[in-house]
This record gives sequence, structure tokens and C-alpha cells, in this order.
Amino acid sequence: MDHENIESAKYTFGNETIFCTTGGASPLSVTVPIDTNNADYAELMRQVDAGELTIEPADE
Amino acid sequence: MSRARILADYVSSGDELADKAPLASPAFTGTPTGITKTHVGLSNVDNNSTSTIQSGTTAANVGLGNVTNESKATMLASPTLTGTTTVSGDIVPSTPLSHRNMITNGGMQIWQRGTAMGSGTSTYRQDMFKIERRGSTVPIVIRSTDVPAGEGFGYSARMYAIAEPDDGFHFYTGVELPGTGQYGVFETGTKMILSFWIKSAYSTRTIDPVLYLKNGLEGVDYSQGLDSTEDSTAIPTSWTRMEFNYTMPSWSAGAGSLTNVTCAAIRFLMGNDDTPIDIYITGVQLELGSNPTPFEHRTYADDLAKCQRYFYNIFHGTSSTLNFDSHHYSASGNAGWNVFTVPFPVPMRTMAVMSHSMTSAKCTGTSVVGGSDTWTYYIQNQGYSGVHGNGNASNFGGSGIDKANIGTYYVSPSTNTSSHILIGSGTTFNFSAEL
Repeated sequence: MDHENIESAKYTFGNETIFCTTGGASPLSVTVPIDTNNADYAELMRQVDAGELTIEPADE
Repeated sequence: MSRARILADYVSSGDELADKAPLASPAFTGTPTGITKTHVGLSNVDNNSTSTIQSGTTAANVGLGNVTNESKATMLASPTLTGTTTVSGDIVPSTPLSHRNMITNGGMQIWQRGTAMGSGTSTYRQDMFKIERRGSTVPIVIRSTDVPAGEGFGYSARMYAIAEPDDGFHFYTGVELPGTGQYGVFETGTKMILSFWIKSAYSTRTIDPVLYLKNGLEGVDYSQGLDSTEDSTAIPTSWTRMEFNYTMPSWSAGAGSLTNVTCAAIRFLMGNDDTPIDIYITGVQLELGSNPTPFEHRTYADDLAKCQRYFYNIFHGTSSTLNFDSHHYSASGNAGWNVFTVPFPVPMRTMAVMSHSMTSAKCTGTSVVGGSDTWTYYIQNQGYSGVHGNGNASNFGGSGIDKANIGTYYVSPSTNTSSHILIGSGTTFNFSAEL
């Protein structure tokens, strides 16, 4: 996924995945699984730890 | 007449003695005839085209006293064989004869994301190779038919950043380890050689492939970098096969913990600040040992299947419209839902990230033209009528290993069912489980 153009990030129902939207020339909807082996999930967590990204909680 | 006189006359005439050969060192002229093999003591020898060794003959008899007819012969070092060599037993090499190349898509055959890119971000283009830009460089990667002649390649990757000023780029590829924290063939002491065909449009450019163990190509846990014996080397301006040797070290952490590493990453270091780069590369091969063998060409199908473990574009290879089973329930608010399933051709490395460009506005409510970035619901034998999908299509999401169950909610079209969902091949729709 385009890590440099994440516009929003939100946990989905049950916190099973993180739903993101990316901007730039080709906006996309991106579902990132909660999986430490997934490089994109690892990058999201790095951005969160660095204070570069906030992930909204899932809808109740 | 005395006997002496007679002899003197005989000798002086010369006629008879001139026809006689001396006993010592006679020199014959013409072709002697009448001599048989018995005359010269070779009565048991025949001048055949294929000789027959007589019983009782030993190696010493024929001057080969140091040669034995053993079942396991020891060859001279580095023999060169000509003609056809037939081996009736097994060949036991020190390194693999097949599947030697640990690099996937080294021949630059697979481009599931498309064959041209102009992106400012660090990302993939040709499968399994990831650009890492430096500074604000905007690297471009395109598929090229400029290849080394006579080597069997169809494509190379042209990677360049020629806008001034730019800081160039690096790029990665990787080899998945057998398990997290398991080094496999990258264990200490193993010798490996990396080779690739490359050329540079600019002279005096260099390349320096450095090997790491990492948890992902750009992961936060990684080893110290392993330099090749050759280190940074100038790239020729004509197609050349470059070779870099490595001996796996006693690995130590550069950051984080080596218990988390999942891949061996090769980071091709290139470029300097404010220096344009323009290279072509293909035939990337990493193999055991210190002797590079010819590039191991794989079929397109083999390479594609290997790549699809890490990335799967559902539209790769088609410009048509794909059709998936759809399960559908309509209701007001978020009670309505739609779910469909996309099977994967090979299991993915880990739970995949799904990316798509579907939106509610792109739902046609009619047939979908192949190649378009549109989609629609469909009902068997009833068509598209009334199923416009005014649900939240942007929220379609899903993941999986062998298939993805993909769904959304807020689906409330005027009919309450659909049997299929049709998606045009111009839609971005892929799954990623990259290293």
C-alpha cells in the first residue's frame, strides 16, 4: 500500500482489520489485517508509534 | 689366375656390391615388400580400427601402471568435456542442479502491477523488486525489451531518476526464510554468489548489493549488513554480467532482534546526491557456492505462481470483466450487506492486504465493459435491473490466505438480492503479502 498517502485509518467491527483510505493519483480502499507478519501492518504500527498516524476505533 | 686376383677384380667391378645393404643402419629407398609381422616379431598384433586387449594384458604391460579401472574415478581438476557425455549413474553435485536461483522473478517476466510507473513513493513495480527512493527523488520503473543479446531474456527493468537535482534510489529484493528466526541456507559459513546482467546509461555509476536478514524488506528488526567481497563496483555502459560473492557471517543484530527475521534482503545500493541514475537490469540470480552458473530461466507460469504468493492482481492477464458469487441482503441503514469471495491461485505468504478502487459512484447498474473501472450487481436470468448498489462500496474489505471473503454494509438497493458481482478489469483490485 501507499504508506506515504494514508488519508484515514479505522479499525473494523471486531477489530479484525484496519480499514484505510489512501489518496494521491489513484485513491484506494485498503484493508490491512491484524497480522504481525504483514509488512503493511508493521508499517502502520511503526507510524502509530512514531506519532505519524492515528487509527480510529471501530464503530460500536 | 690367383684367388686374390679374382677377388680384386670382383670388388673393383662394383656392380654386385652396390646392390647390397650394409648391416649397420641400412637406409632403404622405395617401398620394401615381402616383410611380414612375423619378420619383425609382431605375429600377435593386428592393425584393427578397434583394438582387442588380449587376455593376460595388464596396465603395466601397456605402460599404464598408475591407472586402475575403478567404479569411482577421480577426475582431473576442472576438466572440459566436449561432445555428448552420458552418465549411467547419478550426478551428485555440491550445489543444486535445479531451482538454483533463490531470486523470484529475476528474469523480470512478471509485472502484475503494470509495466510502467512514475511514483514518488517507495514501492514495487516489477514483482518482487521494491524501489527505495532517496530524499525526494521520483524514481521511474518501466519494463524494457532492451536485453543482453543471446541470453534468452524477454525483458529487463529500466529504473531511472534523471530529473535534476535528485538523490537517486536504492532497490530491494528478498528471499523468504523457512521460518521466523530460521536462517536456513543463510547459516554461518555458507558461500553464495549473486549475479545479474546490468548496464548504465551513465558512466562512473556504481552498484553495491548488501545482504541482510530482516523481518520484511524494510523491517525494523535486521542484522548487520553483509558486504560482498567485491563491494561497490562500477556499472559498465554495455550489458555485462556482474558477480558478487558472499560468505555468511556469524550474524549479529543491527537493530531489534534476529529472532524476528523472516527474509534475506538484498539491498542494491546505488546513487549519490544530485546524480541522475538510469540502469537496465535483468537475470538476477542468487545461488549457493562461489561459481556463477548460467541464469536459470523459468517458465512464465512458474514465475507467476511464485510471485502470487506475495502479490495477486485479480485482473493480471485479462482485460475482461470478472464475475464473483455474491450474497446479498438489503435493508435500511447498516443492516444491509453484500459479501462475495475471491479465491487465490496459490496460498499467500500471510494474511493479505486488500486494495481496491470500487466506489458507489462506479456502480453502473448495467453491464460492465471490460477494461473499465466500474462494477455492478447482477441477478441470474434477470439482469441488472434495480440493483444499483447504493451501499457503501468504498468500504468493501476483506483478507485471507487462500481466499478473501469481501463485504460491505449499508447496502440498500431497490431489490433485496444479487447472485453475482461483476467488476471491470480497469478496477484496481489486488492482494498483498509482500516480504
